[in-house]
Amino acid sequence: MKRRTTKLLHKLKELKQEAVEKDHSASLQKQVIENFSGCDDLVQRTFPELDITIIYFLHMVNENLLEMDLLVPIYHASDETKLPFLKRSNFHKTDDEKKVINGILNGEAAVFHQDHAYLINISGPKQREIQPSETETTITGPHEGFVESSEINLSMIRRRVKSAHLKINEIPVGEVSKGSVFVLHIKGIANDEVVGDMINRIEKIEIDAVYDAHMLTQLIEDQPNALFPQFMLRERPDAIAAALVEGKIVVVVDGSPAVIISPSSFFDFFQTGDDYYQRWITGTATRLLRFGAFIITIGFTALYVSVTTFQYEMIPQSLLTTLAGSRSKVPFNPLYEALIMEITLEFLREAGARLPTKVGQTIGIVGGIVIGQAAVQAGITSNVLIIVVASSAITSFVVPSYVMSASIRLARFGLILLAGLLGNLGIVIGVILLVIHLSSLTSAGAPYLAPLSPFFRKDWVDFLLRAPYSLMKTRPALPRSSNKKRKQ
Amino acid sequence: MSEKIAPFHLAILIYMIQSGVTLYKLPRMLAVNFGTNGWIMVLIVSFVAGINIFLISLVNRFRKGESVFEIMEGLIPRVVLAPFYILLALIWSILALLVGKDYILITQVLAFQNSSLLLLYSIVLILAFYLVIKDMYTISKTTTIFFFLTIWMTFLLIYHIPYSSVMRLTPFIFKDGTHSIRGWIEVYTAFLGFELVLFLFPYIDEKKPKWFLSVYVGHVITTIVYTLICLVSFMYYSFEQLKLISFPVLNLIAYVEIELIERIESLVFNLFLMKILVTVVMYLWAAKLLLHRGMPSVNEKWLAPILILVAFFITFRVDVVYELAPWLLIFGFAAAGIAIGLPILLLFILWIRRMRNG
Repeated sequence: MKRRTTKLLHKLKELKQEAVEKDHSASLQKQVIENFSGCDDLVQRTFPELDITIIYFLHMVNENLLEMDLLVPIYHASDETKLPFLKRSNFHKTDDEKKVINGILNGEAAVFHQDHAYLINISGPKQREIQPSETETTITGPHEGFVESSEINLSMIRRRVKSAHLKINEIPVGEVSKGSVFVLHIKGIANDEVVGDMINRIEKIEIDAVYDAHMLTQLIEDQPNALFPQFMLRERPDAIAAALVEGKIVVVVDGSPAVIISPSSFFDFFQTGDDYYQRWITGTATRLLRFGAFIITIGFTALYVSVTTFQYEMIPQSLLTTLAGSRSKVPFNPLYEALIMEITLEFLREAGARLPTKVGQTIGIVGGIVIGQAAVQAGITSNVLIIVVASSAITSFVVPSYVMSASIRLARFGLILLAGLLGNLGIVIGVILLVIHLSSLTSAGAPYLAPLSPFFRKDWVDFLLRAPYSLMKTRPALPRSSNKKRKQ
Repeated sequence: MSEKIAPFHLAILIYMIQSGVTLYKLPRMLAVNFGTNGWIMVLIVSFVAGINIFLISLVNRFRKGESVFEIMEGLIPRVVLAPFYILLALIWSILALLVGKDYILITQVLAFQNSSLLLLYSIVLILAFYLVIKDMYTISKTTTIFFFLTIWMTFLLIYHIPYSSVMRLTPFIFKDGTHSIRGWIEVYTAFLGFELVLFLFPYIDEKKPKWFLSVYVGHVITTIVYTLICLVSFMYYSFEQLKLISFPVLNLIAYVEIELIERIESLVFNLFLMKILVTVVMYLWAAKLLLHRGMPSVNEKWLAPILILVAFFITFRVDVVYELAPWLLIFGFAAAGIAIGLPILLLFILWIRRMRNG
């Protein structure tokens, strides 16, 4: 009798446990659905004969995958107890409500069966196809550029660095958006300490959402209030592969076609893929041209203002008459004259950048007339200034990085003001301030002006010059690579 | 990254501290004080300065990893040394500001006759303040960039070669000079700056055992630049003319004329501000270090403004060139005394300490 009672009690206990588990499953499903209440794009399909409910976002999944990996196995299942497909490796069993919610948000489908939830990755939202990058065009070399999907971007990088040593750490960023950030490095080449530091920086970010890599850089920079960007961003997988091979760390942000390279030097912003794909002599010449453009864009207008305001004696006599004739009708002093033209040009640039291409052309023509002829005929500016401002504008676009170019243009205004106040001394003061500012910057702890200062002799083969590949025997010093010799 | 000064940067730093506005007057100073072929004196004075650097190298050899402060405090209590530190800080900060003022006075004469001296001077002080509050590694990095932005000016001398003549050197050596001690001090001050390396010991990357050689390298660069400029000046001007021109090097640069630009001395002299700034900043930096040791209770961030303000008010009344000259001479003399005396004192202390320890 006693034995029977114990048996019955045991059975009762089991039934109770089952009921609790069933209740748990039901409550898990209920809680998940409650979390998504008001989300009309959430799809919920129930198969009562199999005790299965699947939940997913319609726009986040790939329809083919949904059909092949989930729906077909369900249709073929004969009864509730025989669902072998749930044991497949692409189904991840979980009872954690948070995991289920995050999975659905990431394009996975949640399958609720009996007392458990299963997640299957069938994500495949609509994405932009791989196209050439618009901000980083090259003439020679590969043309494909990154897109907004981190998966496609990572695949493009992996295709170029076919190495098991290429490691990827995924870090969730954004309290609300739950975006993904990936930190990439090649083990054995990149410095582990530097990788750890980068991961730490990203993990510490406290923000609702990160929408773009440019936004992320501002959250991980050493000096967020600096005038100049401290991380180089590229949109070309070949450039990123090259950075990884040099021992640098790369950060991919989901939703952004720009990829961060860390650490970056000021001079990295003047390099392009073409430098490396062209013959080294032409590559070097182009690079020198770019540094020349940098000097002109930052200082030419300021020098004009300084010379025409304070130091007329610097102009040779043959040029002096032309300049004086050109300036004789202008009622403003050179500082105002230059500022008016520079600001007008900035207006044109900004309008051109924001307007649709078709209207943009109109702006170009109107701007050309206003700047080119009308301003001179009306006696507002001199011909020489037009040439000066136009040269500064053209050279500013020679700088390959738009972010750097914008910073340089802003610095130019500072130099123009100082030149208007103190002539050549003002320009020198401006340059001193810039040099001190740049010298004190660091990119992920590495000096920003390397290899010039601190002076890394070996890195000069890829700095002002783009030396032949046979001379590039060591990896750059900046990333503090744990394996200094190339080809190893 | 190792945030220590590498030997390459140390050499540049030493050269940049040494060479300053005196360069513009040096050929005249040599002509007046040492007579014909006075440029040879650059080499002789440089050799004497080299011996002074050798004294510092001895301190480095015997110090066993200690800083200058630790060496001194190993024998004399800090309380006793505090007034000495403060005095040194005061001398160096006043010297720094006098160097800055000297430069600004010339700038004013050249281009800003109607501008206020105070305004121009304040700008230099603000720049110096902006740099001196940075750490030593950043100052060194900035100095290297300044070096690259200014060293090309030496090559302007090539322009003068066709206009120079060996005949103007005359066959006489050191004839018609005053040969005074004052002259020696004046030329010696042109080489000063290397003594600051005493305070740089803890900031130097000492992985390479022969790093001290870079101090000599810096000194040699200074000597080469000085010698070349003075030699060309003696070959370009006649001896009598050289004695009368206030700033012979300035006139030398003014003579350079190229197709697109003339009278580049206004630009070149302004670029010289970078060198002046390094000299001013480095003396202020050393003064800051001394004051901090002498008055540890004062918050570190207030030290630079205190030193600049005190030195500013002490030198406030000096605002014309002929008033500045005796000040520069006195403080130059004091700085030369420190450059020679401090290493000797340190060696003496090290010797006593060694004797005591048996």
